[in-house]
Amino acid sequence: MRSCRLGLLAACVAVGISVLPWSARAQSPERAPRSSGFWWSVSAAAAGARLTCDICERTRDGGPAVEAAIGGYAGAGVRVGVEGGGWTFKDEDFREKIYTAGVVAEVHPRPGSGFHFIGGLGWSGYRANDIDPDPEDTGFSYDAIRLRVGLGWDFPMNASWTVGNRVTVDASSLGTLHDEGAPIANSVGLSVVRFAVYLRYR
Amino acid sequence: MSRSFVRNEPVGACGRWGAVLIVVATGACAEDDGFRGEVPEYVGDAVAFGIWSPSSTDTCTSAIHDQYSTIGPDGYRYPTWHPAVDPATGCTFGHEHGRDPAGSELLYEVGPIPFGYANQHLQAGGFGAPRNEDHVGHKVEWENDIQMDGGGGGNVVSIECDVLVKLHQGTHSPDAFTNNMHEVAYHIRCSDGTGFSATVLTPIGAAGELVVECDRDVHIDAGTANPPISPDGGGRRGIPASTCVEESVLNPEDGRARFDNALHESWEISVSLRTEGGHRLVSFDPYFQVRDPSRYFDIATGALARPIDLCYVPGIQGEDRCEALGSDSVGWNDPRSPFKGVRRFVDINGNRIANSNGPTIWYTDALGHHGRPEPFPGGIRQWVAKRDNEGLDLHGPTIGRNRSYDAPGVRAPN
Repeated sequence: MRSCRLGLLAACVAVGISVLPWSARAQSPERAPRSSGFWWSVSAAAAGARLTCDICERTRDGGPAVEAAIGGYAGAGVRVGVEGGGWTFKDEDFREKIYTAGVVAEVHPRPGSGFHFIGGLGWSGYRANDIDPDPEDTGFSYDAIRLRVGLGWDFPMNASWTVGNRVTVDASSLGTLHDEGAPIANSVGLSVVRFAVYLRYR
Repeated sequence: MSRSFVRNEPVGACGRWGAVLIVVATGACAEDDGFRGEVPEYVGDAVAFGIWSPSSTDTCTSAIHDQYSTIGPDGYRYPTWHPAVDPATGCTFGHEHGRDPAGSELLYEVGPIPFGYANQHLQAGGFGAPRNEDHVGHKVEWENDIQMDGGGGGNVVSIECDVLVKLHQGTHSPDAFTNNMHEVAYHIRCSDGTGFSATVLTPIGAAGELVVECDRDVHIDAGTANPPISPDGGGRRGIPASTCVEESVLNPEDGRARFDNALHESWEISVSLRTEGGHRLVSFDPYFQVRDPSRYFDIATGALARPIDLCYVPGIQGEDRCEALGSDSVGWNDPRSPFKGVRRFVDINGNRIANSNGPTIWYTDALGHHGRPEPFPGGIRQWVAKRDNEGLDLHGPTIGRNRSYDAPGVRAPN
């Protein structure tokens, strides 16, 4: 059931990836790389998340994710900024969430090309609880430093707006998983794989 | 099954189970720092040993029965699990003790379960009266690699446990109408490190009082408990009463008798091991359930009644659980009776442990209290892993739901 949900989300994103960028590219030719000014972006993704530890459930849960980022250009084809986002998964009366925040850099290795690398460092916070918990029920929680790597492809729509798609992997480790505030597992890892479409200004 | 592994040699880390089973499996017979400890010397027979004798249709002798024994951690010889049919002679004991523990992955670590170990030490530990239980009521259940719920409906954590339990749960006599102290042995080992072995004489619900299983708001004062100083305990003894029989067998709304609904017993225990200072080392609360007891409580007379008699009521004869009898008339203790307490299952429920800084070996009194690291007169040897699973709501599933322990010759009292 989970894999079906993830598959549906992935299919939606795949449609977005295949339709939006091509229509955008049809409208806009490759352009010269920016080297100054600010930018912001929003994205939607199908994402799969999984905790890793001795007692952790081995299933990767798939759910929707959103992100927003803002920053400036550090050089030709080099964007840096801060980002924040969220992911969620619901299984019957139980919901998992992941919150993220951090700094991000996107580097176009070939000026003028839409292809770029993505890297980042930040925080991931995992929260999971019953949808209607008891008032004293704080559920599961996990907080850790997170590393992000990924690949993206810009499809400029005009001089200011760009759409694109990207794949990113967030990896966290050495966190402690808590349940009701008490530690239940140490050296816990968290990985999130995102297939996203995004819209960026400038 | 070979009969040789249930003879009465002393049992320790390298006792008969080690010799017969473990060496073959592992090539080693190592001492461990776990539950069993060193091989005790035989010091005598426990009160629980040798109390069974054949009657009615039983074909085994007492001597054959007493060959199934084990030496407890105290050096006393206790009865232990045996098959319902002696494999060497083919004779029948007329009772069964549940699932053969030979298949449990915990058997090597915990050894054969001595029946009556906590009863044996009740008074020596400071309790003011004895409490001894019959032989046939000791019932074993186990399951390997059960998937536990650690909270979050299995989305977050995944933990497997091996569980081996024994409760004295007699469902043939009026004992449990009033008497709430029953021996439980509970062994659990989990993949997250949670683990403990506890043997206690635990009070289940209020002494002298039973709870009507089909209407749990009804609590009945059934008399004086034995011993009269039995303390009240957590949980309850849910026992069928005549109102349940009336509702589901004699006058069901749809006219169809349903014995399983009427005769359901649920003994819901709530046990903890505590230190001298009151710190809770472990707690667990399994529910032990029976679908076919050979008794129920008659509210009108305040006495025991027999479900088999319902099979002779016009309109019920040959129906539901009475179907196999047809028009035959059998006694409550006949092997052909469909009511002999052989259909049982256990809800494992919660398992909590708080011993991250403590030793693994603790000695408590028979009630599981006044725990200390060193032995004392009347002390029961318990094993608790160095682990604190506070926050992990480690719940287990139901085990044994589809099993029946009926076997040739088995009959009430069982």
